[in-house]
Amino acid sequence: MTGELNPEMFRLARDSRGLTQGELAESAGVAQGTISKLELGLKDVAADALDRIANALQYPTSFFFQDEHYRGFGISVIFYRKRASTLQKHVRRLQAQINILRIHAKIFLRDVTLETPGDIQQFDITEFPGTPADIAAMVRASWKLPAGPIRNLTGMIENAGGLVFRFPFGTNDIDAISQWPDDMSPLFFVNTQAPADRARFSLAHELGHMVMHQTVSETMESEANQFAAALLMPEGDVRHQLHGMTIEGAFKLKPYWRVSAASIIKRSRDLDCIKPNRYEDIYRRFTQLGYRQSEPFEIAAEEPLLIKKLVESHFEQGSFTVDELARMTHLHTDEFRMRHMGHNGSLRIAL
Amino acid sequence: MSKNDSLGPMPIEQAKVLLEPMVPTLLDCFWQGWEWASGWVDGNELARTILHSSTFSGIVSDAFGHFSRQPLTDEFHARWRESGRFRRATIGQSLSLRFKKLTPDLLSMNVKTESQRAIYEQDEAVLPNAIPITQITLDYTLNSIASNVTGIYFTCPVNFDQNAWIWPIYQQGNQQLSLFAGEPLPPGDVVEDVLDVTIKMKKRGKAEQG
Repeated sequence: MTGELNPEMFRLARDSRGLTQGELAESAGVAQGTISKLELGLKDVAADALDRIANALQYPTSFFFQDEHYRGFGISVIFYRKRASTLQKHVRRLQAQINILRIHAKIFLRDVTLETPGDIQQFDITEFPGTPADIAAMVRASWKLPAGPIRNLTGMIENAGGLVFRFPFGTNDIDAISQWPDDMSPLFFVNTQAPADRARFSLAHELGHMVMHQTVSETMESEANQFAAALLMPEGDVRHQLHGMTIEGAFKLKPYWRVSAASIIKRSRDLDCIKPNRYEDIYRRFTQLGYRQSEPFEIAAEEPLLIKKLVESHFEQGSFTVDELARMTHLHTDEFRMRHMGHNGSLRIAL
Repeated sequence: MSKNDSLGPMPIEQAKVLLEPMVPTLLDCFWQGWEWASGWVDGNELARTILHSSTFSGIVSDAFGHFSRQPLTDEFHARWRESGRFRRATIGQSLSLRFKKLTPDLLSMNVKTESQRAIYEQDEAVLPNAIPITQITLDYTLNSIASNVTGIYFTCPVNFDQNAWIWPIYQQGNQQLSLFAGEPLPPGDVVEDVLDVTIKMKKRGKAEQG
């Protein structure tokens, strides 16, 4: 093994498995102080202990030698749906998963060029002379989207060079996260535990952050919501459908706009198509019917394809084997298959 | 002056071509009028007690006429004829539009005067050699306590008791009638594959990957 042990990678590996230092120490048969010191960069480790720690964490030892950093979520999760009920253990695990996927994206993108029909332009909301809805309209225009619904937002973001990952977050409190690492494409992470309609709105919300927000502000969540609503349901296209909105009407529009009935009702209120007291009546009934927790008529989820295509191109154009790609990404082969080739390794592979 | 010829009113298929582009604007204006009128009496128990439901309907129709005047003029070059509260918009050469509340039987409610009869029977006098004008009404129906709109329609009468055709553009609980007028309903929920990204390896071959 070349290079130096990277203390941040020890913590990244442990957090990604949701283990405490004590649990890892017990599993690996080493002292808890050893784990603590390794993570602080205060101690070298004997080869056999390193192997035991790697085995306990189910990563190859090369994982700990990566020249990478364990980063925070970024600005998109500062306020967004982060509730007290979200256990820190889950949050740390999620943060670690996202770091690992970011590192993998960097590896997959390292030796390829992407030719995309569009890009993700940034319009800093603090300098832009307009509203989040105006910026959403510019994004739609730059992507040459026709009037009406966006049938596949994930695909459009990928066509603009964004990478979308979809996996279970281990919590229902966060639907999506985004990051724009230096010298990389923007990354979007979507929770498969969220209903597809809500996940789509959250993805649009995250796109809003990437497009509008380079710095944190108190209004950023509200701005991202306005952006998402305008991106998915432009006022000029949807307004005439929202007057006299009812719960039944919202569910009829749901498959057309591919957003939740709740967001259609809220859009009706925000565009003054229903009076606030009518909105409150509808919202009350919506809650009584249990639709806030679970809406009927779920739409199909959008599956990201670009990351699969990137992996596929390594097989087809680079003649890589699964084992080689697993080594590149510092995973065992089985985990590589599970993460990047579907559960059954169903990706087409040219061997 | 001569009476409208005997060809009868414009068929629904032909009328739809002219009316369809106006549907979003008209619905928008209708709901503006409805919200304005109902907002005015909401929470005003005395107004609710004093105003007969037909009076309230008249307010809605007046408000609708008010809110639609500018957009129909700007967007569709509507020309207006007014006689007291009776307001009509002429669209193009062959179509006259007015605003009314319907009975539950989808018939307009009017005092049966001679001038109204001429409109209902599509028998209004026109200039010699002029294109016959079809009289169409944009109407709405209310629930029994006049608290909710149950439907919005285009109707084309042939007499006081009969319509040549009715085109519903909004029905409570069935908004798709108007929402997707003139366009096919969206396909079943299948996520379209839109990915259009080309990937090229900068370096070919695994040996160079290190």
